[in-house]
Amino acid sequence: MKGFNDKTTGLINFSDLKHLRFKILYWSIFAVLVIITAVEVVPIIWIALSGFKTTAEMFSTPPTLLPKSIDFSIIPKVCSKVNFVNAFINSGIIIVGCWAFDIFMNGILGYVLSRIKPCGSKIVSTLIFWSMLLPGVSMVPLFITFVDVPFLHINMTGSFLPIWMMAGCNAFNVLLFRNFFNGIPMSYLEAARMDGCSEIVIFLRIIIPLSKPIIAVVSIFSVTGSWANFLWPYLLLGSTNFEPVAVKLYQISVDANIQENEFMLLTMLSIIPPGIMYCFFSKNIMGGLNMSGIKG
Amino acid sequence: MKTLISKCCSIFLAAVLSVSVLAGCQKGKSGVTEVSIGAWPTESQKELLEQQNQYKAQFEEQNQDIKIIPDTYKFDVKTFMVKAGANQLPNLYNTYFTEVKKNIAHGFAADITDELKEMGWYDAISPEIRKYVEDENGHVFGVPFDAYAQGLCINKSIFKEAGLVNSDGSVMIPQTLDEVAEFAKTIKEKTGKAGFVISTTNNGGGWQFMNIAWDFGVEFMKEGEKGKYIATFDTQECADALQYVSDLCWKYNALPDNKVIDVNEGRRIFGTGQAGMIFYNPSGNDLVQKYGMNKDDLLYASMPSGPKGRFAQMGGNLYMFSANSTKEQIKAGLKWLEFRGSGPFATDEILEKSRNTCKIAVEKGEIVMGRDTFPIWNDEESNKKKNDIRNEYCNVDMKNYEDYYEFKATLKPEEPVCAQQLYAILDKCIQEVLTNKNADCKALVKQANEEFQKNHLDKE
Amino acid sequence: MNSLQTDRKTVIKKARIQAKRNLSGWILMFVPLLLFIMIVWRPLLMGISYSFFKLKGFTPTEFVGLQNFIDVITDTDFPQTLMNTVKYVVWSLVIGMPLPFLVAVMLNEMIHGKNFFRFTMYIPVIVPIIATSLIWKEIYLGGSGGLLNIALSYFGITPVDWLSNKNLVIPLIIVSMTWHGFGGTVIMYLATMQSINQELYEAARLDGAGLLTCVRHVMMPHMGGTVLLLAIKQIISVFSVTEQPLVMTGGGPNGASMSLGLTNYFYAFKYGQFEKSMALGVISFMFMLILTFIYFQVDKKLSD
Repeated sequence: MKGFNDKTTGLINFSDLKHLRFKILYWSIFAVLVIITAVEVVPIIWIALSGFKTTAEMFSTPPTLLPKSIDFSIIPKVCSKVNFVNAFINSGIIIVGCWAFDIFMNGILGYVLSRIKPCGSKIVSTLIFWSMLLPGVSMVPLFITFVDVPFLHINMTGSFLPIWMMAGCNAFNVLLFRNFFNGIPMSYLEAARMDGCSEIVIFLRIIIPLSKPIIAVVSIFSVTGSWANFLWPYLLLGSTNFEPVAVKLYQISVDANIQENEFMLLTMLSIIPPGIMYCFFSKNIMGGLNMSGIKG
Repeated sequence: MKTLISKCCSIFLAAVLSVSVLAGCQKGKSGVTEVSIGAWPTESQKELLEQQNQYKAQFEEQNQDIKIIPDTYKFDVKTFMVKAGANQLPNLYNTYFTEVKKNIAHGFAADITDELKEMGWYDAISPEIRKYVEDENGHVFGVPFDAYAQGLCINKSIFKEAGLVNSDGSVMIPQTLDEVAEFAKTIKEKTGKAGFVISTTNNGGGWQFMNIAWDFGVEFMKEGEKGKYIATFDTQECADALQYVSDLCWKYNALPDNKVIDVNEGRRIFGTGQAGMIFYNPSGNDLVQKYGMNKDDLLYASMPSGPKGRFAQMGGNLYMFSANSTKEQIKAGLKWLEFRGSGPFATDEILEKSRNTCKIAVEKGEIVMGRDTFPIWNDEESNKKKNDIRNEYCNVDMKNYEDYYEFKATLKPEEPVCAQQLYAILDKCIQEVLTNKNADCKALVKQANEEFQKNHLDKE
Repeated sequence: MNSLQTDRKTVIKKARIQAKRNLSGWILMFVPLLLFIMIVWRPLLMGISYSFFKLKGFTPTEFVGLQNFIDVITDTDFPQTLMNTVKYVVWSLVIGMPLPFLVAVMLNEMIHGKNFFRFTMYIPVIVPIIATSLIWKEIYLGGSGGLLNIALSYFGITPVDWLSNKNLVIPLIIVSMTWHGFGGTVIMYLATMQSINQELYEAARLDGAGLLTCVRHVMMPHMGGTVLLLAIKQIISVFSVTEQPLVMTGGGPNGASMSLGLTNYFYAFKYGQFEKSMALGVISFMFMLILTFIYFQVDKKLSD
C-alpha cells in the first residue's frame, strides 16, 4: 500500500495531505471513483451472470441477481456451437492489418501535408477534411468499387483487404498526424535536407522516433475502432469463414438456434481477450501517450 | 524509396492473391450453366452443409449441364439493399413477401413467368398465393416456399393460470377483439403477466395493426386518377381501431411494461412466458428454440373478428432470381428447387428428401407440424403425400392448431403501394397512444393520413 | 554582377530544392492518395452526383435536379428529425464532455488503485456495441425487472418505462453511449494531464492559488487542444448516430429519438431509396460544415 508521502503528482501533493481537510477530499474522490467504477462494471457482471441462468430464471419476476447454480461446463458446450476461436483470430488479423495501414498511410499523408508541403497540398488537406463530414453517402458506390476494382477488375469482397484499406484512409487520423507534425520545427528538417537526406529517410529516421505520442493516440483509436467495426466486415465477410467477433456476435444474436443466455455468455467471453490485451499494453499506451501538442 | 515501392507491390500482390472470385463467373465451360444459390449453409451448420453438398453432387450428376455455385448470402435488412444495388445477389436468393413489391420496383428481381410456365409450375401455384409474387401485370417474379396467415398465438399455461378454461379442461379461445381485450385483462389481474403483446417499432406495429384495422373496417387507400393512390384512412373506423389499442394499454392495462419494442422483442416477451397472447403464425419454432418456451404450451387460433369483419394478413418466404440472371440460370435454379423438394410435385425421390429434412428437424428439437403452414401448390395429391410424411414426424399436438386451421378469417394481401411506409407511420401512431394516455386518436389518424399522402403517395 | 550571379545561383538552388520537394512529396503521397481517391473521393462523388438522379436499383434513370433534396426536406418528419439530431449533439456535449474530464481530474489525483480504476473504466469500451445496446436495454427496461428500476425501488420510486418517455429518450441513449465511450476519453485526458509540468502547479500553489484556480488557470489552458479535438470527433460521430437509436427504440416513441443518421439508414436499407439517402447525406454535410466552421473559430481563439 502506497502512503501519502509518495504522492508527488497531481494537484494535491503530499504536504497538502497532512491536513485533515485534504485527506477527507482525497478519500471522497476515491469514493466517487468507486461508485463510477460500479456503474461501469456492475451491468457487465450482471449480464455475465445471466449467462449461467436458465431462460426461465432470466425472466422471472422479481428478477434474481445471482443464478441458482454456476455450471462452467456450459462454456465449452456453447463455444462448440459456434466457431468462436476462429472469430477471434479473424478479429486479430483485422486489427493488426488495420493498425498497420492506419499508421503508415495516414502517417505519411499527414507528414507530407505538414512538413513537405508540395504544391497542391492545401487543396488535398481541404478535400480530406471535407470527406470526414460526409457520412453514409458512399456506401453502395464503395461496395461496387470493391466488387470490381477500377482498372484492376478484381473482386475484393470476401478478403480482409478492403477493410484494411478503409482503415488506411481515415481523414480524422490524417489531420491528427498533420497537426502533430506541425509542431516539429521546420529548421530541424531543413538541416537534414541540406545534408542530402531523402524525404523517406527523414521520415523513417527523424519523424517516426519523434512521433511515439501520436502513434499511441492513433493506435488507441484504430484498435478500438476496428474491434468494434461491424457493418463493413459484415457486408464483406459475412457468412464466410472470415467473420470477426463483432459480426459473429450479431449472427449469434439472430440465430434461432442460440438461446438468449448462451448469447450473453458468449458476449461476455468475447471481452476477455481484449481485456487481457489491454492490461498487457496499458503501461505502454500510457507511457507513449502524451497528448501535448496534439489538436484537431 | 525502394522499401515503399516494394511495399506497394506486395500490397497489390496480396490483393490479387487473397481475392476470392465469388461472383461474376457466370460464363463457364461452353454448354454448362453456372448458377449461384443463396442461403447455402455455413460451416457452423455442419449437418445441413453436409447434406446440402451431397444433394449438390447428386444434382450435378443428374444434370451434367448445370454447375451449382454455393453462396452463403442470406437475406438481412442490413445488407440486402447494398448487395442488390451492387448487383451482387446470388442468382437464387430468399426474401419475404413484404419485400416483393420493393424488389420488383427497384429492378432487383427477374421476371420468371415464361420459365415457370415451361416447367408447368405457373398453374400449379395456388392463385391465392400467386398474388403475392407477381406484379400488377400478372408477371411472376418469385417461387413461394412458405406462406402463412397471421393468427392469434396463445400461451396455454398462462390461460390456465388465469382460469380461462372451458368445462372440459381445454383453454378458452377468444374469437373477437373484445374477447381478446377481456381475456388479456383477466390474465393481467389473475397472474400479473401481460395479457397481450403488440410490437410498436421497426414497422412491426403497423404490420400487426393492419389486422385490427381491417376488422374495424378501415380502408387505407384507393386508386384515384392515373393510377395515383389516395390515402383514405382519416375515418372514424381507424380512430376506433387506434382507440382499441389505446384501451388495451390504458383501460384494460393488459400490455407489457415495455412499450417501445420491435417484433422480435415482442416474441421474446411472449416466448419467455411473460405474456398470454400475441399475433403470430405457425410454427413458432423460434419461441421454442430461442426463448425456451414449452412447445405444448403453444396454441394457435384464427385472427379474432372485429365490428366490421374478420381479416388476417398473409405473410411468407419466397425465392427470387437476381435481375441479371439469364434464362438458362433461371431454369437451372428452378430445377434445383424442384430437386430440393420446393417444387409443386412430389416424386418418391423428393418425398425421401422431405423425410430426411423432418428427421433432422426432430433431432434438433425443432417443431414439426403435421401439415404445411399453408398450401402453396394446387396439386392436392402431392400436398397430401408431403403432409403424410410431416404427420409421421409430427412432434406437437395438432389439436393446438385446430382453431387456426379452420381459417375463420378472410385472408387479405398487403396494401398495394407504400405498405412499408404506411407501417412506419402507423408505428408512430401506436407509439403515441401507448405512451400518452390522453392522445387524441382522431387527430392522430388525420395527421397520419395527411403525412402518408404527402410524404409517400404523392411522391410515388 | 557577381552578387547577381550568386543571387541567381541561390534562386536556382532554392527552386531545385523546391522541385525536389514537390516531387518527393507527391511520390510519398501517391499510395495514400490513391487509396483516398479509390475509397473515399470517387465513391463520394458518385454518391453526390447520383443524388440528382432518379434511380432504379442503383442505376440512374432520369435527371431530376434538386427534386430528391426537396423531397427529403419537405418530408413532414424532417424538422423534428433535425431538431432531434441537434439535441443528440447538445446532450452528448453536456453529458459526454465534462464527465470524463472530471473523472480524469479525479483519477489523476489517485495513488491508490489507479491502475485498477483505469482498467475498469476501459472495460465498457471493449464490450461489443451489440452487447452494449443489450445491456442498456436491460437497464432501462420498464416494469420491476429493469436494473435501473430495481436500483430505484430501494429509494421507493415506482417503476418507469424509461425509453417510452419522449423527453428522456435522447438523454438516455446518450448516457448509454457515454458509458460505452467514456473510458477512451478518460485515458486521453489523463495522458494530457500527465504531461503537465508538475512545477507549474507548485508555483501556482506558492502564489496562493486554490485547487480550483489551479484547474482553471494551469490545467485548462493545457487541455484546450485535447478537449476541442475530442469534442469535434464526438460531434461528427453523434451527428450521424444510427446504431443506438435503431437498436434501442427504432426511432420511437413517435419519432422522438429519430436522428438524421437513422432516417438515412431507413431510406437506404429499408426502402432502397438510395437517391434520397444520398441527398440527405449531402444535407447533413451542410449542417456539419457550419458546426466545423464554429470549431475552427474556437480553435483560432484558443491558439491565440
